[in-house]
Amino acid sequence: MDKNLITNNLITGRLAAQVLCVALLVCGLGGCGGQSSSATDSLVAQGASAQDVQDEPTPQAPMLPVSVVDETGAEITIDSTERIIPLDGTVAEVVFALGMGDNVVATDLSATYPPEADALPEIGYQRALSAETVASFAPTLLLATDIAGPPEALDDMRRLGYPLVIVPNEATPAGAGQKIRAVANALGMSERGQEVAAALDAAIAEASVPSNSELADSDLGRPRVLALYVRGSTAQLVLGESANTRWLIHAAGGVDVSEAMGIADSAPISAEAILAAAPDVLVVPAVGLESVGGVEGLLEIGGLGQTPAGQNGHVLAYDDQLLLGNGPRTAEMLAQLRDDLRAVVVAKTTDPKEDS
Amino acid sequence: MDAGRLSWRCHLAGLFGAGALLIVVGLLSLRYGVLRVDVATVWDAVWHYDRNNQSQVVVRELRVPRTIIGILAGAGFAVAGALTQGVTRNPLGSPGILGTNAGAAFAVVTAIYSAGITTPAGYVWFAFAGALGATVLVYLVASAGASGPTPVKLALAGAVISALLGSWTAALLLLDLETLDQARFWLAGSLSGRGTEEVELLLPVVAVALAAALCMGRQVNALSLGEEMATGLGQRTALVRATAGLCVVALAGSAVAMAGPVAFVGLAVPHIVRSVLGPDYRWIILYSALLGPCMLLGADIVGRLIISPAELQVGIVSAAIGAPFLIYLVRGTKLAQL
Repeated sequence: MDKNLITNNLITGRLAAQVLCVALLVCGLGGCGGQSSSATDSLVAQGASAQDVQDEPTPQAPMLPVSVVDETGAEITIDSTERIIPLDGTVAEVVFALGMGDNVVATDLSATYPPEADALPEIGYQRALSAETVASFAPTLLLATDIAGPPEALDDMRRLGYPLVIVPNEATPAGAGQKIRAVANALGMSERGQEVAAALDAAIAEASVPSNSELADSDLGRPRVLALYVRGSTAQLVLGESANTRWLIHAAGGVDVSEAMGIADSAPISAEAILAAAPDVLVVPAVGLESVGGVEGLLEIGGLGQTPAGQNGHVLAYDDQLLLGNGPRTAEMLAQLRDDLRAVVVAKTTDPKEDS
Repeated sequence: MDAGRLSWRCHLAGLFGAGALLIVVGLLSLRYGVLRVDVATVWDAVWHYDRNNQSQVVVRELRVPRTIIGILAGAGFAVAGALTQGVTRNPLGSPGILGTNAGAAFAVVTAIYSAGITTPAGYVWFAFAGALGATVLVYLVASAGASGPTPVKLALAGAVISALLGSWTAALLLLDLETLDQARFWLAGSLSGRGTEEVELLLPVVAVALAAALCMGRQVNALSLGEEMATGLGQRTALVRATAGLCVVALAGSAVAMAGPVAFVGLAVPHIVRSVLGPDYRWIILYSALLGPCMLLGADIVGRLIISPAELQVGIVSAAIGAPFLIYLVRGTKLAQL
C-alpha cells in the first residue's frame, strides 16, 4: 500500500496551496481529452498560476506583413495573423502566451493548455492532418513543428497558398526560448517574443540545479531517472536523447538512465535493460499513465516493478504537454521536477527500509 | 452461362454504363470532402476559377489533381492487373506479383532515408524507377534457365524479389523512426499531396501504355489459353509477352508513382469484370480501364469522409471495400476461369 506514498505526498502537499487555481481551471481541464487525475491538474494549475502573472500580455500590435525563414529554410511571407491555426499543442500555448490567443481559430488534438486552446475546434492530430480540414477554417497562418504530417497534407496546405511556418522544436534548455522567438517572429511581434523568451530562459537557468550542487554532492548522488512514453499496451517506449525529458532530468539534478542505455530517439522497453539501469524514479506523461491503468498498471510492464523505482513507488506523472512540449511553462515544469526529485532523495535518506 | 458471347448491344450498354459510372464518381470526387462545397462552386472552380475564393481553391488545387490521379492510377492498376492475369495465367496476378509495389516502396523508403527526400512530389520518380527496376529484375531472374520466363517462374521470382526488397524496406522503417514517419502514409497508398506537375509528365506514359494494352486483347486471349495453343494460333508469344510486360511496367509503375502501393485494385477489378463478362480480354481490359478508376476514386471519397477530420488512405479503404466483392465471387465459384 505504501508503495505510492511518496508520489501521493508530493501531490497532496501542493494541493492545499493550489485549491484556488484548480478551482479556477477545473472546468477547462475537465474537457481536455480525459487527463483529469488530480496529480495532473495540480501540476498544470501550478504552471498556470505562475504563468498568468508572468505572461500577462503587454499589448503590441503585430507588424505585418513580415517575412521569415523557417526551420526548413523556406522563406515565408505572412500578411495576416487574423486566423491562426497552430498545428501543435505547445505552439498553440506559445501563441496564447504571446497574447494572440484570440486570433487562434482551431487547434490540433495535442493542444490541451491553456483551456481556451483546448476548447477551440479541432483539426485532428498533428501527425495525421488533412489539408481540407485545415482549409475549412480559412486560416491566414499555419504554425507547426517538424512533427506535423503527413508530408502529403503539408504539401497540400502549401499548395492552397497558406503560409506554413515550421518552428524549431529542440529538446534543449534553449529550445523553449527558440520556439517562442520563432513563433513571435512569424506573428510580427519579435520584440514581445524576445521579452518572453528572455524571461523564460532566465527562469529556466534559475530553476536548474548546478552540476556542483549539494544534491549532486550528497552521498546518494543524483537520483537515477527513467522517462517513459506509454500508451496502453501498444506503445511502451523509453524516452531518449531526442525527448524533452533528457535535459529536464539533467537540469533537475537527476541522471537520465536512458543516456547510459544509449537511447537516441525512443526505444521499446526491454525488461533486462531496464533492470540493469536500475532507475530510482520513473517519469511518465499523465495520460500515458492513465492509459496503462495508473501506477499499478505501469509497474506490471516488463521489469518496471522490480526496479528500485517500482519497489518504492517512485512514479512521477506530469501533464503530457507540460512534460514533453518544451513551451512557455518549461521553467515551472523544471522547478517541479527538481523539487520532486529532491523529495525522492530525502525519502531515500530518511527511510532505512529503502535500498540504494 | 456463356458469358463470353455477349452481344455487341450488351457491350455497348455495358460500356456506356461503366463510362457513366466513372463520370459520376469523378464528379462526386470533386464535390465531396471534409470541406463542404456546393455544386455551383465546383462548377466555377473548373470553368471560372477565382483564386480568391477559398472553396474554389480547395476544389481546384486539391480535388481536381486528386481526381485526375485517381482516374489515371485506377486505370493503370486495373489494366496492369488484367494484363498480368492474362499473360501469366495466374489468378493472383496483379502488378504486385511482378514486384512493382515492393520495388517502388523500396526505392521511396531508401530515398527518404538516404537522400532526405521529404516531399511526396519528390517520391514520384523514385517510385517509378523502383517499380521499373524490380520488374526488370524479376523478369531477368525468371528468364534464367532453359525454359525461359514461364508464368510459374515469373510468379516465384516476383515473390522472391518482393520478399527481398520488402525485408530491406521493413528494416529501414524499423531502424529509423523519421523515415517511418515520412513514408508510412505514402506506403498505405494515397491520392493526396500530389501536384499536377508530375502527373503531366506521367500522362503520356499512361496514355500510350493504355492504348497499347487496349489493342492487345486478342493476343492476350491467345496467350491465356497457354503457350502451345497461342503458338498454334500463330502468335509470336515472346513478342506479345514482352509488349504486355512493357505495358504492365509502364502502367503499374506510373500508378504506383502517383498513388503509392495500392495492391487491391489491380487484383480485384479484373476479377470482378471477368466474373461478369467471361474470359475475353478484349473486353476485360477495356472495362478494367473504366472500372479501376471508379473503385480507386470511390475508395478515396469514402476515405476522405469516414474518419473526418483526418483521412483514411485510399489503399486501406479500397481493400476494405473490394474484399467483400471478391469474397462474394469466391463463394460463387466464378473466380478461377482465366
